[in-house]
Amino acid sequence: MTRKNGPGHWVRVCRDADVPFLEGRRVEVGGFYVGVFNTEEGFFAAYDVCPHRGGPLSDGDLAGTIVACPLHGRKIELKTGKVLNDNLSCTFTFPVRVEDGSVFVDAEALTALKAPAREAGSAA
Amino acid sequence: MSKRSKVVVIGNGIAGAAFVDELLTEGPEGASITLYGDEKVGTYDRVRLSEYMAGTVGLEELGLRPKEWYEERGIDLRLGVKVIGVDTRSREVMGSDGDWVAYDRLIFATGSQSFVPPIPGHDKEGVFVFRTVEDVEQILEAAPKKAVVIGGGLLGLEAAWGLVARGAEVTVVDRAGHLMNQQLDKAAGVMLRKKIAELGVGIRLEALTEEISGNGKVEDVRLQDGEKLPADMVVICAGIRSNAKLAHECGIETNHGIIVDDYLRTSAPEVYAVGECAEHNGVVYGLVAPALEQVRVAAECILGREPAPYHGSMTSATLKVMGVDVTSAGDVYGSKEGSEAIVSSNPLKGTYKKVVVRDGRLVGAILLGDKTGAPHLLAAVRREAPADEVVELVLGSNGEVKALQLPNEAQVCDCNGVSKGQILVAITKKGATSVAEVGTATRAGAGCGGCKPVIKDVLEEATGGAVEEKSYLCPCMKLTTEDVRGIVKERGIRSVNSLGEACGAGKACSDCKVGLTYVVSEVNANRHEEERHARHINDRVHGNIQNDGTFSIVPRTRGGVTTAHELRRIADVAEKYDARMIKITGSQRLDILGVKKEDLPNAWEDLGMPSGFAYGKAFRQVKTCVGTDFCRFGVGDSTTLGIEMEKSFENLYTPAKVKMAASGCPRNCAEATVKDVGVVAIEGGRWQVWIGGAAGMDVRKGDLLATVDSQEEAIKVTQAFFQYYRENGRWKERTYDFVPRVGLEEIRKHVLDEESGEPERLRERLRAAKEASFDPWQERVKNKTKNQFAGVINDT
Repeated sequence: MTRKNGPGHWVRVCRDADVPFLEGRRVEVGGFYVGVFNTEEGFFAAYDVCPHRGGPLSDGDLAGTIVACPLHGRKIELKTGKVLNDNLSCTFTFPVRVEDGSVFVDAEALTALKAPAREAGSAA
Repeated sequence: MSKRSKVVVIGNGIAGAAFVDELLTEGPEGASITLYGDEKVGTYDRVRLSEYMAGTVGLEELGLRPKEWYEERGIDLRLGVKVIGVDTRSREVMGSDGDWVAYDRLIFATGSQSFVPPIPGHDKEGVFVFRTVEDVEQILEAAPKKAVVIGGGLLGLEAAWGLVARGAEVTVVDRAGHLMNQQLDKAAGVMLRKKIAELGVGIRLEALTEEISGNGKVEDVRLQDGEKLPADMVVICAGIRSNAKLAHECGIETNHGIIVDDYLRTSAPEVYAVGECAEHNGVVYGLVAPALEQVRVAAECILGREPAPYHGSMTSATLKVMGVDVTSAGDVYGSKEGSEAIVSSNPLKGTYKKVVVRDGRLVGAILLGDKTGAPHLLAAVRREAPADEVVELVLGSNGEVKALQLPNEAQVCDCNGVSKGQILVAITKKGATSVAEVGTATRAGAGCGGCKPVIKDVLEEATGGAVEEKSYLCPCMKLTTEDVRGIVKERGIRSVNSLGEACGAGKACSDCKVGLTYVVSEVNANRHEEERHARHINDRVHGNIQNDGTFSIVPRTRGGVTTAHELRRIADVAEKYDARMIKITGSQRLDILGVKKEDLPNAWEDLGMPSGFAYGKAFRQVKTCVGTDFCRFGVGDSTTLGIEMEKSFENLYTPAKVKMAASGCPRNCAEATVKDVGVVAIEGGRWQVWIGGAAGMDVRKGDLLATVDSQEEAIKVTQAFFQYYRENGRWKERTYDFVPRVGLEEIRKHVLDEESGEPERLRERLRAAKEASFDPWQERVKNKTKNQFAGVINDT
């Protein structure tokens, strides 16, 4: 992983071409699973464990900036992490930027997460 | 409440956590809270309470609140610390950490545990105790041959049925005079006994268990009258016992539980008790909903408001045993003065209906053997509806249920706590026009679904007419499957993306994208532009996603026929890729469960078999019997026909999944009459073709479409019907809904009248679609998208 200068803790995770348009893919940042999404409004990143039952959001269905979890269809607004169709707590989202074909995720928000993704009930 | 009143809560289960939440509604500065938590039950995530109540998740699965949550709110959380003493005079509690903590208000929320009667031998191996339905699984795993269930209540009967269903010989022993005596009166209990006995369960009533004997392990159960019941398992379902010991030791008045008044106050000043440890009016409630009602009242008291007194909770129960419908609510005995009962009983049909009325209002009800109107009746008891509204429910002979005039505050959806008023707002303000849309707006009906008939009534009442449940393919744009088909055909659309640009569907919400893909692909005979983002993950990686994010693999074994070679490879693949389970599915196939996404391509390569499409809205398989090949009764070669059918339909998508079967004689061992398409051989080399059958969530006997003279003709008829359904079925509409909607005569006109040429045109279009179809597991060689099967894609 490469450090990126500037405020926050920017980590290079993949190339933009690695994530097909309107799909998500999973990356790992500091032991946590993060879903990277290539939407019509650009790239977004969210903690890849659905707040409902731990489903892999990166395998979800994408439209606009909303991803629907593949397990039980909980919809998450990637801009805010809000669950739109259930009374659940927000999922973590991370600032993303794309430069020269590389996708960077700001890992600073990861300090808010306590348990590593591997133990959060979601298999690779 | 005075500033910084000191509140101590003992118990961190559902009631305790809910209580803290209620106090926090005043803001954290209102009270200083000390919370003692039992180490076994962590702090409950209240957000998921509705799911817990709906039974979709167990307590163990409920999330834990991090310690920070408490710190932020200034709560002194003492996890793993037991309260060992309370001085109700100096108003202090002492914990096992040695600290004395002073309180202004003390709340017992110590819960309960399973009650184990002091029967000699209850500690022997093979004796189980349980309270929750989840525990049943553990018991079933032990697979007893002969079991005795002690306790004939709701859970006891469910446990008994679970064991019977697994082939065990079961006897239920209860000390009371009739089964489910908490929920049923004697007459209903007697009728229930007959029904349960018909299921093969032995029943001993007014029977006291004297001893569980055996050499270390259970061998038999001896009853007081001397009878010995041989058993290798004993399941004790004798209810709960409140954790009231601590309160009792501190001089607080207790009986079965900690005795509380109508404001949940105990006999000690400023000490309250809520939940399963509390006894109100002689009743200890072992359910979540009453605990929460109690919590609300007690919290209001402490916050200095003046709540309405708690007069006990209406409880309801539904027995979930196959073929026995029992619903019970409220006061079924009518034991209070002034109660009257209206009863209608038909022992020949095995039905019993009773409503208990007091002061002209409904206070209790039993429905046995007939659940018509059960949701309405439950709702009516909850709001103590006027008696004349419900009399017809009991006495009505035609079984038709009239919608009841619910007041706005009446709760309709128990699971998610949605009132009629909230549903009306969804209808009038948010424009909901169907049960599904009400569900989206309010979550009503999203739990157990039992209230959906009531939601429909509310809709009809609000809209002043029968509600036509329009099934939109795209609810956002209000487009039906027919609308979308029209747009695709008219404009020659070949991709979901251009369809979205044409009509807006699938742009802002992903719900319809998979359906749009189906229509686009079907209209274009699979010569469309494939967009994987518009497929569900199952159809992006060609496996069925499991609850842990892994996938299942079901290879195609046509007609359920396989070979020793294939079985070896399946076994090897399961081992090599650490499958969690290999299972024979309900449709004669082998399912390798729990394979990681990144292992799928290699697993398919090792298998060398095509995809069985067990994951999509697609043709699945043809279940067969061995027909004339082996069976001495067979009159037709169902295996060959089934394999031929499977070859002609495989790799094709459909509006909803399609399962087929071929039986070699009218004994119908392949169960062809309850499949989407089924063929059954009859004498003289002839075949019946059945359509629209189901034996899943809905059970429907298929309709006999035609009887034909040969295998070739049978295939031709099934092909024409299959394509007709592909072209005219609505998205997610199974054939068992499609066939009655379109009508058998209409279907016959299109698929049987060969002279018109239409059946042949249908088959021609089927062939065209088939030519452009393929085995998706070939994508292991050439991926369709970048990182299609990748687990984690980080580069360095």
